[in-house]
Amino acid sequence: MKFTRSTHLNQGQAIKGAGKSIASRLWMALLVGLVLAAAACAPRAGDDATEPATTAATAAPGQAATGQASTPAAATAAPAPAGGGESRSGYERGTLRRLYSDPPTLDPHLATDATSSAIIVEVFGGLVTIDLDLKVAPDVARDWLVSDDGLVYTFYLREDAVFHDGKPITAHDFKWSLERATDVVTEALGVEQYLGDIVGVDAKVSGEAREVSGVRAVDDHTLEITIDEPKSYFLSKLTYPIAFVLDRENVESGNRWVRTPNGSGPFKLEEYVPGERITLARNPNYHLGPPHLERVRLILSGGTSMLMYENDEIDVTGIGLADLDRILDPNHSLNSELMTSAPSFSTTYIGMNTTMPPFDDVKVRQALNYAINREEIASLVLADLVEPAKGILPPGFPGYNPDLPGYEYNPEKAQQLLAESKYAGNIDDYPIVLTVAGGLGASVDLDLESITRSWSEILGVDVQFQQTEWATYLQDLYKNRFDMFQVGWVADYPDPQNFLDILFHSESSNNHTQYSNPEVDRLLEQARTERDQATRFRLYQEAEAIIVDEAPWASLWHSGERYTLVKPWINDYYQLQLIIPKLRFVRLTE
Amino acid sequence: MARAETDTGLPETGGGSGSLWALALRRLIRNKIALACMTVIGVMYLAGTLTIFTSPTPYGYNDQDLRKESVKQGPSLSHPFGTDRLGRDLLTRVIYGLRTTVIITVAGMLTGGLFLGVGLGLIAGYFGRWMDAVIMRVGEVFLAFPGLLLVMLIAATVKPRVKDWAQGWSGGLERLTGIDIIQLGVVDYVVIFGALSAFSWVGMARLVRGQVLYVKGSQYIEAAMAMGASNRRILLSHVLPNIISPVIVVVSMGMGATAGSEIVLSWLGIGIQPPTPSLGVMIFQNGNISVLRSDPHLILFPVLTVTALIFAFNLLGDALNDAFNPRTR
Repeated sequence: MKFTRSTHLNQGQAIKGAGKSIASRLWMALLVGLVLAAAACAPRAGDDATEPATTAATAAPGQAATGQASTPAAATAAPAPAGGGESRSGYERGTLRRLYSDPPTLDPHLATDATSSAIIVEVFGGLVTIDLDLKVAPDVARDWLVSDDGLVYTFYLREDAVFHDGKPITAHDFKWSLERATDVVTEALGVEQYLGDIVGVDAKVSGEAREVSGVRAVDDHTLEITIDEPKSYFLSKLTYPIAFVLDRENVESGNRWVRTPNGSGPFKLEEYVPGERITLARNPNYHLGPPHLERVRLILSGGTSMLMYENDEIDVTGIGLADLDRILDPNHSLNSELMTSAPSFSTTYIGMNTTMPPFDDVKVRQALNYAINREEIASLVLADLVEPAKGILPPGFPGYNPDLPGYEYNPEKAQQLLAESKYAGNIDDYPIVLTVAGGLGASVDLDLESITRSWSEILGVDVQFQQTEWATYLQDLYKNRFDMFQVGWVADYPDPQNFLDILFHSESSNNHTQYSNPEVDRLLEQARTERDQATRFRLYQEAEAIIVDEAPWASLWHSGERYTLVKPWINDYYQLQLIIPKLRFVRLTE
Repeated sequence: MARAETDTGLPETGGGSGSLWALALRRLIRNKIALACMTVIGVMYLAGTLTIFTSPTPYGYNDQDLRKESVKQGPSLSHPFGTDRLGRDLLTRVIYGLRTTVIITVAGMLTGGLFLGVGLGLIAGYFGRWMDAVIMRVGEVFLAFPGLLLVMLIAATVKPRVKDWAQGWSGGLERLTGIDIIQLGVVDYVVIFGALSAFSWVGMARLVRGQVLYVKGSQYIEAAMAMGASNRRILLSHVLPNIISPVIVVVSMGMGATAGSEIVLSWLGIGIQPPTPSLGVMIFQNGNISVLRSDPHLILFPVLTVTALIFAFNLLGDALNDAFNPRTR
């Protein structure tokens, strides 16, 4: 469900979106652009809703090299959160501060984007969660049993787990929450994908049943979930916010309940002033161990992350392309505060619709793949902020195959493949339009300009760009209307099924390249119910090898916030590849 | 018609309508700022126009050079404006960006400002009654909408269709002429200045209508009518020359605004598509403070170019105003 725009490259973009009408932003942008070199408040309001994990977790603010700042002076004067006890030098007691953007929603059942999810996982929780090693771990369920046939999951809930208001969390709360998530009225997206394995969800979603028959509260602290096939990855799907537990009374108190949520996570939502700030406060009763921090303050009112960091106004920031050279220099004063992390579990790719000419010939697709110099672009254009992709699964992801050869840069081979294809000589007759998600302040990424240039030089294939606003883009994507498109996919849960089955099974609604190979389908289906993990991963690797060879994608990068600056008084701040609750581990040296 | 001349105290250089222009031109040339502005505009338009035929520099606008020593280089002798992140010569890209600006400002002004605006204004002012009512009410409706948003809407909804349609016959044209109009970005230009002009005529029409109403009561119009001149003759030979000076001033100022609109549209992602350079895209791609700190040339040169152009248009507008209406000085 989580497609992403590859925003890691648009260093000129800001994340600040709220609080200004589009018109006023336009004018500001115009004036600024014209009169001042500093330029460009280019708020990415449009994609806040869809900010990929790569930018949401910590990156978004980091890349927000500009906020509404119009001049350097104005930037430093970005409004400080009220009541914040800000000081120009040093930290704020017990508080972690960072720049953030307005989350599109805080309702766990409705969130489909990373900006929202990163807050939601701190405020809410579910049966299981993901730990720092990125493995499924107990949350409200202290333990669970899987029946021998792999169909029935019995969860034993903690007796000490309570909502923020002190009310105990029971199996009935989970049953109600799962039924709310699957209710038509809730209009949650991705229900079939995340919860569709549970028996009775189909009937509930179509409105035929009032309950989900596969979910049963045995007693207050025992929950039984029955699924349709023995799918070992089902448990990891329950770590996704759509399976989180909500307090019925709280939700039924009115439409604005998400502003005063009664969650079960390590932090309480103390205050949410749209466009200004979100304050999270420590939940002293948290069942997995209360947070060390007293507060987390997320500044929504904009500003230039880097400057705010340098002025000690925030404690954590990502680093944009433009600042990178300066800070990577070992002599720079901020170099010691630099934290390097692995790219997040995401893959940016160019998809080709395998049913449309000229992409219906596998040789054309392979030729295009061979004509991309991934290594060079990654290091020279993108300053090694991304890792060149060989296959589908990102490095470190369960089932990742380090031996996959991928496509090296080989212009001769590319030309030879194109010459062997059925479009040799008349490729010009098929105009190719590469659609990218555009929108406010966005522009075509430089890496794409470089790729299309080498396609043109090596293969004589000319590609036109088309930019579509993100919401329209997603609609068209789901209707398979693009012949060539660039997008990213961010992992929802750590299982290869989340990439391979969802994106390449011929019957998947997310298979937008319309790739279809009976052999791949067979392997993917076999992997779904395979109980032995090693065999399962082998099946996925076989499928991945076939898919990569047949090249419905040109995989480009595994991106994410590779570099983060963290103030020296912040300890145990983790930059992880998935969105998981991590702020409770943070400690401040005072 | 002789309004301007009689008040100047300058020697008459000859009768007829030519003298107004000659005098205005002479006043303009004596104004040093105006001269500087005209030079700036002239150089930029010449450079921009040249690119339609050939690159004015040794580089193409999309000549990438991905080597460590050639990307993001500051100004040097071989690259006076430096190079961008893909190793492309920035001066070349700025000049090609000017091409976009030149085409859009000229075409937008000609169609929207002059043709539609002046034409409809003349008709509304001269014929009055229901024609006036229809034209001005429609104009007010257009004014009631935020223009840029409507332009966005049109560019987002109509452009893909126009492009599909153009794709259909561009192949044939390419075989005939060797010019690939899609690759040149002509479709983008057409839709955008079409959309811009659809909304930019109203101001001009109002101005012209007011001027027409003013001169309509003059005795020379009455005389022309009495002698049986046709409407067309009265409009083109008597009314138009007498209202043209404010029109020129407004056009000059409007050129700057149109150039600005292109930049905003590019920022919204519905303007000129890469790799065709656009000053707007260049500015917004690099529009942040960190770039200003690390690679200032990436942002400074495009911004200075646009700033100079728009300033020049505005100052020239002032100077034209002074030249045509010396009494207001």
